[in-house]
This record gives sequence, C-alpha cells and structure tokens, in this order.
Amino acid sequence: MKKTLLIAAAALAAGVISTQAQPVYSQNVVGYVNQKFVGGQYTQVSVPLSVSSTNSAEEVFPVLQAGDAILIWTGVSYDTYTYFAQGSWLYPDGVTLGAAPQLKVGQGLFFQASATETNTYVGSVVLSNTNAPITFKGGVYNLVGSVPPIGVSSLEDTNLNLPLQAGDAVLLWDGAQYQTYTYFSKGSWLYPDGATIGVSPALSVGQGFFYQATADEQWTQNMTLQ
Amino acid sequence: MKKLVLSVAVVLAGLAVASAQGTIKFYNIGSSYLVSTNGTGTGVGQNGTTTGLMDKTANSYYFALLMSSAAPTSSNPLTGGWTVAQTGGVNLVGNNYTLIAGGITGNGGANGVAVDGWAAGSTKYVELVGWSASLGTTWSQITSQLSTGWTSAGYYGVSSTGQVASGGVGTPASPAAALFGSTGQIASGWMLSGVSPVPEPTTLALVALGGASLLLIRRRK
Repeated sequence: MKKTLLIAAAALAAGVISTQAQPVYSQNVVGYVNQKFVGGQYTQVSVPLSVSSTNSAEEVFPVLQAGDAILIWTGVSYDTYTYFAQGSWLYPDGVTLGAAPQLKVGQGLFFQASATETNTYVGSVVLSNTNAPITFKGGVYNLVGSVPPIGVSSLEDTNLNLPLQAGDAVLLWDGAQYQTYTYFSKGSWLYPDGATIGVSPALSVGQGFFYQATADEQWTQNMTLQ
Repeated sequence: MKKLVLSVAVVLAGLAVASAQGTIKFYNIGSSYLVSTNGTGTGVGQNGTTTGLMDKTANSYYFALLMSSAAPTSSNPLTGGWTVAQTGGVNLVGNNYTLIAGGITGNGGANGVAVDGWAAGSTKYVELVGWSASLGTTWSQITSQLSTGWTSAGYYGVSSTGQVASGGVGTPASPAAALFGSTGQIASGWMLSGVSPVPEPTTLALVALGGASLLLIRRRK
C-alpha cells in the first residue's frame, strides 16, 4: 500500500508545533495522504483526515468512480454503499438511492474499487479522540484505524496507544483474507500460523484493521507533535 | 441507471446467498477466560486443594464445542439438548494451548473455522467441554463415560453457556466470531475438576466373592 505521510503536515509541524510548550490537542494542520486501491479488490481503510465538516464519502474519496463501493462494519456484517454518481449511492438494502454516507476520522471500512485508482485524501489532521474515545467490548470486532494519520512500525507504538492486553487480536486484510495477530506480551505476538511468536506487524497510514479485545477496553489517542 | 442498479442488486443478492456457512474462533489466550484445574499437577485424577491454570504440556487436555439452536435445558452435554459442533463432518475438538497455561486452541486457531450447520450470522447457544487426556482423546469416549461412569482418573468440566452470532457474513467475510467475550458469549474461565473411576456393582460383587473365597480356603486349611 503506497502512501505518503503528510508532507505538508510534517513541514508545518516542524515549524509551528515544536514551539509549543503545552501538549497540542488541536492544530490547524492540513496535509494529504495517497492511497492506492487495486481494481476488484477490497482494501481495509481508515479515514486519515478530516476533509470537511460533514466528511461525506464523496469528499473523503474524491477518486470515486461509478461502481466503487465502501463497506461499513455494523458489528456483525457490512453495510455496502455503492457509488453511481455525485449524490447518488445505492444503499445497503440494494434498492434505495441516496446521498453519500458520512465518515469519521479514524473510522475503519473496506473500499472496493471498480478499477485500480489512487485516492488522495486532503484535509485537516486530527490528533486526539479524548472527547470520544473508542470502547471495545470483550469478544467483539471493531473495524478501526488511527485518528492521527500515522504509519507505525509496531502496533505497540505509543502514538497509536492501543490498549493491548494478552489475547487481544488485530486482523489485517491482505487482499484475500485476514491475517490474525494476537498480542501476547510486549514485543511478543502470536502470528497467523498459530505457532510463531514474533514482533508486532506494522501499520500504514490510512490502513484500517479489526481489533478484537479480550475484555472491555477503551482506546484513546492523544498525540502531540514535537 | 436502472439497469446498473438492478445488476448490482442481483450481484449483492447472489453474494448474500453464497455466504452461507458461519465461522467461529475456537481459541483463547486472554486472561479473562483461562481454564483451571483443581489439582496441583502432582498426579492426574488426584483431587488437590490448590487451584491452578491448566497445564500447557502438549495434548494433555482436550475440548469439544457443543452448540444448540434452542435454549438448552441444562449444561449437561447428554441431556441438555446439545450437539457437538463439526467442521467438514469431523467433530470440533481442541487442545490446551502449549504456549500459555490455561489457553485453548482448536480447529482454525485464531483465524477461526467454519462450522457445519451454522449459518453465517445466525446465533446459537454454545458451551465448551474440557477433559484431561487420561480420560480419552475423542468426544465419543467422553460421552460413553458420562453415561456409564469414569473408567479412569482425570479432570473434567463444562464452561458457562454463551450465545454467539457466527462470522462469515458477506464479502469480504466478517471475521470468525469469538466464543469468549463480554457481550453474551462464554463470559469467564472455568475449572476442570478431578474425577475418579467409580467401581461398578459387579466389580464390588466380584471383590466380595473373592474375599469370601479366601476366607473359605483359609478355614478349610
């Protein structure tokens, strides 16, 4: 998954936010993220930026072509919204045509591209979700992503700040199936083969993932830019 | 536009029909749901006084997944209305986890497994039955002993009952549903308790007969 991490945001952050003495909860930092979608495949996506006050799917995905679809997780299955034309989406019931669904920053979803295309997200960076942390119920899958648009080499990254407990599982979609990584202890994850213990997998900017908590947990992100 | 809508609707309907078999995750290493025994590990079947996590030695414990569409009348595997879950016509039987004491891993591990006769997204009642290898390695061996009595010493126990909506819904398929959790599933760990063989009446009669014979022989001498 090709990505570019917020070149503009990085430049602004270096020049502006490093001068701040207090933790930064909100900055008017804008940037962009490129993400490639392969035609006919599903891609696990997380909305990386706030593109407008409504954050409609059409604004989040300006690359949309007729036949593209987004799949929103309901907790047990997906609601599929298929794009036809501006302002015209086929709703999950397969009959109703309506406006684009609205998406939250950090919301996970599947994107199904009708043809290979690269989406460029352009919008504001959100660093914190302390006003609306995510609650994980034990044993339930949540399709999520990072609120700040970050790529991390480890799911244990402190900026990602997942509330990891032994037995928590992260499911990454590889284009054909889920790859399940189960947290064992710090630096120690059980790999999808069920036998290998290794380090945490990485996560790309804008990559969504399923999180299954073993018990009730709360996920808060409150990133500060240095 | 109408043709496009119709064709997409047909495709969606086709996908819904195609995704028929439910999937579950017969697996746990989370601390909230670990399995204990009431023995100290000094000897299988010895009812100890110290509770500890189930040993992680490979293949020392076995588990079967039982399911029921209707509310079970009890947790009794034989009389509660349960059937053993299967995949591909073979019983779903798991083992103790070899990396974490008290953990369980069954068919499919953390990725999950499709369960025969369980439609994707539908809800069933579930419970797990666990036993030590000293009692047997197959579910049929356990059901036989549940009917007639234990033939050897070991550990045996049944989890609490939960309700689980299976995964495997839609395309891409929803993840395999967790058997354990705080939203109606099996909600806690449980204990396998020591069991011992109970001498059958015929065995007792033979013992008594043998003793009487010995007495008789001694008197004749």
